[in-house]
Amino acid sequence: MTEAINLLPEKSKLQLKQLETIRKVRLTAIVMLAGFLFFSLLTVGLKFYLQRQVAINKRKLAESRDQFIRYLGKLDELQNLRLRTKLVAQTMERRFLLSPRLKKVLDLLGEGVSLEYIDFKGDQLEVRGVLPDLSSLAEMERRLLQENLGEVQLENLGISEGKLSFLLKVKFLSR
Amino acid sequence: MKKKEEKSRGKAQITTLKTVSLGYNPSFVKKIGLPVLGIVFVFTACIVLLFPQIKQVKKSWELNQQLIKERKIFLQKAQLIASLDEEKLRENARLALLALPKEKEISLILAALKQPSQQTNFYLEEMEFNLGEVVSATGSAVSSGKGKVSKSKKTKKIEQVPVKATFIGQRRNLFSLIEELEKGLPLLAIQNLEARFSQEQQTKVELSLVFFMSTQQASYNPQKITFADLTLSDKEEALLRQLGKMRIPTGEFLHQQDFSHRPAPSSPRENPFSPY
Repeated sequence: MTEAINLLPEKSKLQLKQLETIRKVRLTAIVMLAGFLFFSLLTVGLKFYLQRQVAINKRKLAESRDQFIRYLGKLDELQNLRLRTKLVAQTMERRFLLSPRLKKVLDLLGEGVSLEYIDFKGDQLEVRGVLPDLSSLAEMERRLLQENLGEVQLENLGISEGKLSFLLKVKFLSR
Repeated sequence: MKKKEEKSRGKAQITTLKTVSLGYNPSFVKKIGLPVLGIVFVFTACIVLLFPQIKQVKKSWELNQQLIKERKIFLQKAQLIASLDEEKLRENARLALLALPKEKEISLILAALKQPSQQTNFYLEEMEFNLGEVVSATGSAVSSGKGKVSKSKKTKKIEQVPVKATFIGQRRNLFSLIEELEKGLPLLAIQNLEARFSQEQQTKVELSLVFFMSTQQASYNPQKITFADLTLSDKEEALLRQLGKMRIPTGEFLHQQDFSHRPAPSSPRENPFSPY
């Protein structure tokens, strides 16, 4: 392949290079300037649009808050209900219910028992009564021990007129 | 002339030499200077003017999105509250108040004792209670049934109102009486019981009871309320169903009482969203 013959003298080559450089730099400057102008206009336009949107949405938010405020009475009622329900649950959990425990004890006393008194204080129950015979006492004791009532104490208070007096003390288990 | 020609030739040679050796061309510098200045101007303007504006635009965009999101949440919450069954809400509130009153209602205590006794054929022979300091309609302090006035103490979450009651009835109904008392509203607990059985199947029962009450009011920030707070949980619903199955006091003691929703006070509620 033959080399191209550069007929241009050195001075002209340099000038040509300079002209090329000038052209490129000018083009770059024009493009950058145009780009800057374009993005500036875009930014300014977006800025004004968003400012307007923010104002509109602030107004809409205030309207929705007003709508929410209208239901504050209902909301108050609901929150008070939830609080009270929570307190009721706490109360029901913590209170000591006598009736199921008393029922258990009375059921365990069995048939033929004649009660004289029942005393209950705090968590301790005392039942005094009369049984028809000694075997009933043993049977009662057996039944009481089978159940996990708490601390159970059964006393034989003696026999009178053929009947056996007893005193039952139960300290119920706490919840 | 010759000398002038020689001088100009010399200058041209020097210029040519300079151009050849240094590449310096004054017209080149002039021609390239302006575009370069333009590029520098664009860079500077971008840093000084454009980028801060882009930052502002980004902030406005984020603010806008946040406003839209907040509005959507408010509307959803408002919709959820609006969809609540008002009648059911009031009924549940009534039940909860019956279970745990917010005031020391003498009539309610009387009804709570009278109804079980009637159902179990006991009669209420005697009742003694100390409601603590009870404020009358005139605002002055009123003593309790037994002449005792106790000073008001620091309000607890759940307060107890002690009551002593004496019932007389059939011994076989004693357990039923206790059961009826405990499974009714308002909630109570039996602290002491003394039952004496006579030969004639009669029983005299002296009970020391406590009734529970609470003056607590819900305090919350409406702005921070969550969606979960706008509905009753399963446990709460189950408890309210349970309360609904308990014995509710009725009778002449309660017809004056209004446990239904009390209307909002005449003074308007403060706007919780106002900045002041």
